[in-house]
Amino acid sequence: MKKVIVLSSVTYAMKAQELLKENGIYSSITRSRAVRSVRGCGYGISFEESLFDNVRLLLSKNGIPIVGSTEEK
Amino acid sequence: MIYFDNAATMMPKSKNVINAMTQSLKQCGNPGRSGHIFAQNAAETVYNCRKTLAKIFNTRPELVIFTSGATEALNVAIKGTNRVGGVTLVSSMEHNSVMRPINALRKRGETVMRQFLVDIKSDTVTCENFSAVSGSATNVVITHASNVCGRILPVKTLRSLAPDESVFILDASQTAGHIDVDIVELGVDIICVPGHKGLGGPMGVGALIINPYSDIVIDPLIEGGTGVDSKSYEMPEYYPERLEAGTMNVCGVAGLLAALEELNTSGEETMLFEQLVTSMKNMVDITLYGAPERGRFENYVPLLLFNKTGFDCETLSELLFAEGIAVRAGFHCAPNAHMTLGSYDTGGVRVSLSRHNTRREIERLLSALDSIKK
Repeated sequence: MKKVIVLSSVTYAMKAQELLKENGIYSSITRSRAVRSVRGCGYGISFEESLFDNVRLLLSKNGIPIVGSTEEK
Repeated sequence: MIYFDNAATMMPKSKNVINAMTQSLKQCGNPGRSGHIFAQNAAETVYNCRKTLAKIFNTRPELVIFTSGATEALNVAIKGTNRVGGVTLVSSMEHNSVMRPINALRKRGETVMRQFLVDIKSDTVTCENFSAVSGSATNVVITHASNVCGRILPVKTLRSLAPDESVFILDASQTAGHIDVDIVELGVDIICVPGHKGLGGPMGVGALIINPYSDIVIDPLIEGGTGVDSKSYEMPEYYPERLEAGTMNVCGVAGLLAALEELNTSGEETMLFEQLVTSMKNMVDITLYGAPERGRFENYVPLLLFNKTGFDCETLSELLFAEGIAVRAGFHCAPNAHMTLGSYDTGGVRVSLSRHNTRREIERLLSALDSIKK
């Protein structure tokens, strides 16, 4: 299972992916059904579920607004 | 052909710019609209360009808004921050890309326009003139450097003299790519830049850049699809998407990114400019307008306005073109600047340099000016 954090735009998704990479966390940008379940069209970053707290903290500390979170298989 | 019209648009565009644009047409889809590889290519190109511009102007990538150029950026900045009942203050050197949108607001009764006189020879006097009328300003819109004579305005000091709560918008059309433009250092709220002048990119792309410490709210001029929040009829509240409705000029952004990657603000053209000004001051039939005095070149970007005795400016421009030299004559879309400089009745010939110009080309211009006779 992967965790998805939904972000407000592709700009923030790319910024988040870059930030996570700098911190050694692999993620991918997704527009999956999981993202749509939160806010219609949008972008999210998908990553290992166990890293959720770490990722949420990193994004918050760096001013990247989180719209919601969900899961995808 | 020798090209001295870089203040209109820099030429030649580099091979890397042309290649990047060609590749983007082949490989880029619509950014921020899908998850497939073509959309991803486009999104990466656009984000990389945002990031590069953010680094150059000292802000965050999401505070770089792409526009079709400086004119659109200025329209968004001016109209999107104007609040009815406000007072908009401009300098006496503004381009019509500033004057016309403000005049449109004024005609609708949505702002009152005031102007302060720029003293070409004294920043102190310019600042005194500003202070005399800035007390009630809600919006200040000024050029960083004149597109007619190249004089750089004392922006940081003017910002410090403006009311704290006023919105301060800077037109950096002639400085971006020529000198360092740091939005935090200058303290302005918004900087508007074209991609195709000093930055060396293609026409059709520019940017509105927001200060990371500013809390201004900019209303969109146009509404439409953004690829996110599709179920809402409202534009997003966050930047950049709030101000970027519709499909972006990805090809232009790709070209701009390539230009930024080879940007060099070493100031080589300033040395050529010194040579040009110094030589032209010694020509008895040449009148310079607002040109730098000896040792004051740091207050200028490399462009110069002049006339030659006995020649209409347009005629002189044509004669120079016949000699293989491209310049720009007329009023340069900035009538107030010509009024300030004393060239309102005649217009003038503008020579504007870029990093592509050479000493040999300056010598060819000087020689041509000397040889053109009645």
